[in-house]
Amino acid sequence: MTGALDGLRVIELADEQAEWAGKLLADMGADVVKVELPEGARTRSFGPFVADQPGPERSLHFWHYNTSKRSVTLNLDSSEGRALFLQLTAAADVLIETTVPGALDRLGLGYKALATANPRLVVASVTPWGQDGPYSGWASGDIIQMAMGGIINSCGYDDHDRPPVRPGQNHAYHLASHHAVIALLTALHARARLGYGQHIDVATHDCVAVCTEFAATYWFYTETFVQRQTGRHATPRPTARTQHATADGRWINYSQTQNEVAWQRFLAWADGFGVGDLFRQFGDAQERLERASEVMECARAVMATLPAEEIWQAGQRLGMPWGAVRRPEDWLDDPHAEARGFFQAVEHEGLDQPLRYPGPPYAFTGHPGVIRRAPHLGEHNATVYGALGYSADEIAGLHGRGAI
Amino acid sequence: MTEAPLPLKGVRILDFTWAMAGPQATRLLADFGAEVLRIESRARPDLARTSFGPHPHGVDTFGLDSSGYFNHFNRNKKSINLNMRHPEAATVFEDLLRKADVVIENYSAGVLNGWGWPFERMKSIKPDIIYVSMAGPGHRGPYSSYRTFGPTVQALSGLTHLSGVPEDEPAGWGFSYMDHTGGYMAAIAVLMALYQREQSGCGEHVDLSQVEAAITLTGTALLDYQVNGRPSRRVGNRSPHPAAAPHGVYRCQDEDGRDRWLSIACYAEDQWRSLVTAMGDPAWATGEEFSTVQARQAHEDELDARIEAWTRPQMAHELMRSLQRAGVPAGVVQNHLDLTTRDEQVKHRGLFPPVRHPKLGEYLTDGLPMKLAATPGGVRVAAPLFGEHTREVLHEVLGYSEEKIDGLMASEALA
Repeated sequence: MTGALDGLRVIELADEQAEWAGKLLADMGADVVKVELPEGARTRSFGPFVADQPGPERSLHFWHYNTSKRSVTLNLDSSEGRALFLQLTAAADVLIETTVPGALDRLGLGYKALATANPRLVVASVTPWGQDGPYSGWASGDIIQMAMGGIINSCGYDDHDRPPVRPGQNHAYHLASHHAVIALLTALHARARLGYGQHIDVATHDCVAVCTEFAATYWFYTETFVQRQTGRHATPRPTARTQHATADGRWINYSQTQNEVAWQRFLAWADGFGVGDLFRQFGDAQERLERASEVMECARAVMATLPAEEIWQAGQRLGMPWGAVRRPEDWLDDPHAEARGFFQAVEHEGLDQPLRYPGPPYAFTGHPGVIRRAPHLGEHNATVYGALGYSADEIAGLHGRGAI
Repeated sequence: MTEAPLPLKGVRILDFTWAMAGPQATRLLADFGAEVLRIESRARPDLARTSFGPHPHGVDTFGLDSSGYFNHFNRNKKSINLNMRHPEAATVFEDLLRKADVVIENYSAGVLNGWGWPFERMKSIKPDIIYVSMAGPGHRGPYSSYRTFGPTVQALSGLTHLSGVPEDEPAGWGFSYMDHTGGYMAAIAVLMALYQREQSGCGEHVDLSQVEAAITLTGTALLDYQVNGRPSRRVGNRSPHPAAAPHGVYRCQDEDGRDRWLSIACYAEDQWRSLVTAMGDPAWATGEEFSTVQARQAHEDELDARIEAWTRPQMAHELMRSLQRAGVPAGVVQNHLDLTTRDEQVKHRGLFPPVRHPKLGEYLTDGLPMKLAATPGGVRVAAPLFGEHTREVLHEVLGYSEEKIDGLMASEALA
């Protein structure tokens, strides 16, 4: 299936900070060549693993974040390896790289050197703190970024004696990757008009620090802090709970609505459980907002009598914006995901069943792209270096001399 | 000095977005120079104008121009009034479409159809139009009539389930992360579609589902479930993968003795050894149970308690600096006072520029976290007043005469 980025040529020299960026491009049809050290990218050592047995071809983290890419090995400590890297980027539209600031310059492969060989190249450098500045040499990690950028300050439980909590998965890296992709596609758009590429400096710290919603607006406009709350927005003053336990030991998110039609339908539904009058005492939408704690107490009592899936689906059919707290895997057998063809089956050698990967985050109706399994280490050395003009013997020689 | 070119100059976007997810998408595109025309009507004003806070001078002081939240997410855009339900709106919208590259909206499915504007009709007017919709469940499928806000999307997708400590209910996200991230993904979709149009000359409908967009962020958990049969789970502040220990948020204090929190993470053995040295080589840290990352993970409750006993009396920011000097990953759980006054890196990069709003006054806002060396873009002007550019756009873009505009105004099509 053709993808929106068919024909785009990308070189990726990236670790966990920006592999997601390369994946987003590759799944939509870009030819993303992942340049790995001869011993393999670091993320091949990240769990979980197939059957919990570590190994460079067994990392599920690597599989997810490197779909649809090609892999070559390359030793940047070798002069032949560096010459190859220059050849790769000379034939590419984009380089995504996550090396520490200055490292590529020291190898003679900094932006200026690359742009001399290929002025149309767009280079997206993703680093923890940016290319320069007082923290640019600081140590980092996803949790460090989520703390420093202000996200963790908004997340956790009502009880402030307990620590704030980093939301699950590596979202600082997701955020950096999203901004890298936006930036490089923007630079490609400009290139079509201006004729030249450019260098892009993405600081993960900044990406996290502009993803805080109310924490920013309340501070900028009123110099007030938001306070973390269980399962709902952090706000300057405590608000009513919106996450309710259900009869089957799960949870549901109850958002209020100002839609009167939906509310009337909800009251009729609640009558079926003999609790409609409990909610009628609140009058109009304004009063329901003002007496949110009481509304939520009533809701809590009702939610506790029903299973989560039943409640959220029933509520949605009434027009209420409710959602069960689902597990990601609940979607694998969901009829809506099925009808949309969201998951894509991908074959892996050695596994009985194809694995279902979540499709791209945006369903292109004309150029949807297709997801392919992550590459084996160096799987595409022959084809990629062959396309640069190296014969099989020459590639064997590069291998023998430790260049690839 | 000549001004740097704007990278998306010449791209015109008809923007029906409201609340936050959609405006986050078009804010990025506008920052890079796309001409974003917000199409707004008094018949259904944006919740971000009327409801989301704060309104620094009161909710109604400046009518629909009172919201700081709206200003924050809509700078660099223009606002035109057009009531799509008015019978005379269709010809105006047709004329706008002919001059547009992109139509974007984040309503529930069916709203544009209800106005008589399904994608096929837009395409019949402007064959290469790009249409990005952002409904929570998407436009196709059995849940397509369902309605979501950011917290609903986070709950349904699994992001909420994955956030918090395993022994308690989900803590979830303390803000609409998926309004930000749904917006980033919609901006990516617009740019990818523009790239494709450049190659093939074709526009298309991109049916973005914010719930699907969120599920893509949980892929490792989805694979672990399918391959190893392991249900997805919350891990608090810990990091089973990649294996790191310590990995947590530890209690410190500030100058007034209040709790402050510091994240510390050791991904590599040299970082752990540096931390032990920084702690003064305590006897407990040299024990067998803390000798490898696997051993530390197996004794993580004790490890965390030992570390917090050490961090608790210390000043969070000072401790961060001394640990960073020693090469240990450490970062304060910063609030916005920290970000705007203590964070030297934010200051160096000028992340929060001021923007002057003609009614609200001057406030800081979130700048661009990525620096494009040749075409940086940036924050240029405040969010538009409600309908501020109606006359200007209809005259300059569509070539309407003042008399024609007056007539449309009188008929309330432009309201």
